[in-house]
Amino acid sequence: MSASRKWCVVVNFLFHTTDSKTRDGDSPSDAVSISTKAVESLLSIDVPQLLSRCLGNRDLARRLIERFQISTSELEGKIEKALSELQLEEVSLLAHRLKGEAANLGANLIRENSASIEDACRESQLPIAVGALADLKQNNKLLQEQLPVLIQNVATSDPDPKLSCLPKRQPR
Amino acid sequence: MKILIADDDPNTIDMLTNTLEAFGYDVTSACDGIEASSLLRTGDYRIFISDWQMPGKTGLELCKEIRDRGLDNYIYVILLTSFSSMEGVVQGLESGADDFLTKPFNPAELIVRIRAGERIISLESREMTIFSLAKLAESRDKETGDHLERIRTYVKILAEELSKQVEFHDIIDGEYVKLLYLTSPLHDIGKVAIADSVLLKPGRLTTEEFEVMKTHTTLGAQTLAEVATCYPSAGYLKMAIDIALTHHERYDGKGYPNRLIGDEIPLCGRITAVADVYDALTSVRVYKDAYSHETAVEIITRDSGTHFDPRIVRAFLGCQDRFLEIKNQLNCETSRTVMA
Ligand SMILES: [Fe+2]
Repeated sequence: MSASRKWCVVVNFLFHTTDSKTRDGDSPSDAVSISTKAVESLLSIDVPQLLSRCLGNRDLARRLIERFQISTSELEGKIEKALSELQLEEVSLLAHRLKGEAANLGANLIRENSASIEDACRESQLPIAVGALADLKQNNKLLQEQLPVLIQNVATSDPDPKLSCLPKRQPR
Repeated sequence: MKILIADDDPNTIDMLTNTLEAFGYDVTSACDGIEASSLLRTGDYRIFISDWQMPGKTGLELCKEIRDRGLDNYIYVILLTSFSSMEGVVQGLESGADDFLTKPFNPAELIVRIRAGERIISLESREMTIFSLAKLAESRDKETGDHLERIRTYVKILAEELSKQVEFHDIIDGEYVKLLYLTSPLHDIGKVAIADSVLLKPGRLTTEEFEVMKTHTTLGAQTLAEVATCYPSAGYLKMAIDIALTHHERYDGKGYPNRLIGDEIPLCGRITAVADVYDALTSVRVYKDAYSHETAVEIITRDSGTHFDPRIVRAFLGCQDRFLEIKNQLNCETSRTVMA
């Protein structure tokens, strides 16, 4: 099942479960917390990790996601055009850029697809690059669909504690 | 500390800026290599974080550009990469990068790396400051030849030998020896304020003139203390001040300027005293020939417990062969200064 399809099924399921649990008299906050964790695990961007990288600055995290969503579509279009013109070096550079942007955001699927395109073009493996581009398009579609949920999660998720061990601030 | 960031991805710039500003750094950003290059030319930035691939100029090209210009102020360069292959690292190091940060960066790692950069920069400024001060002292007293070079080598040898004694094992470590080596050339910096008629007088000094000459200890310490007030972070100047002030104190309390006794005299001052006297004895002066190494050893041994700390004399005797080697290597035949 594709990531996109899995996402649709799970979102329907979660909305249904949350709904029925609340109706059956369970604590609504429990239901919300279970569903939040489940939704987080299916999102295109690792929001808790992103929040940690932003030192908990939610405004910044939201701005980064909105900008990344626009940038991914732009780069996807440029990669597709350059690939159709067989400008493999150009494709490599564009994919490298997208890989860096996705890595910073914790958009792991998009990062993997971009890395595959970059590597395939450097080795002139056109069919692999075309296949990876198809995956990228699908994952970008998923990103666009998830945008409202991602923005909502930025407001409600907690930063990933694994990334939060910062050194002490020194008086400057 | 002002930091320059260059990246064509606005998200990376915003994330880096957010972390660095949260830790109190003053951040400027450039969105391509050309803008970064012109900002670097202002000389305002000591730390530069650059993306690898950028329009205009790449991070590697900027790095090479910085190193080729051979600036007085070292710029610490961190290259941002999306890969960590050996090839990339070697290429980066070859072009003069100091460190690497892989995307996605971890804020904690970023701060640790920036702090490492700050340490390197402060060490570099430390050595530059001491070097220029020592050169200033030397410029007033040209005939000392390789005196400063010999002194710093003697104190280093002595300190290393002394660290073998259990009592000094925990006090003298590598950093102490390094600091002693760096700061001991400043012991006579106060001489810059002594009148030529006294400092450059051929022949022995009168009692009054000798009193004037003695003030080079307090004047030197005052000068260095003023420098230390301007640079509060320059903690290393504390040792320089101690050496300038106390290198003429005697273990029995009969020295100058403060007649300190025994361990009241800072260790760095006691070490420098032995090195300074050995150098004065084995050098030619206007009023005397150079004594032989053996005579110098005899005099220093005789003055153990009176002029010198006996533990330091013991260390001196343990490494006197190396003193002789240095004396012969760094010829002191040209020394013709008033002994002070
Ligand atoms: Fe002196």
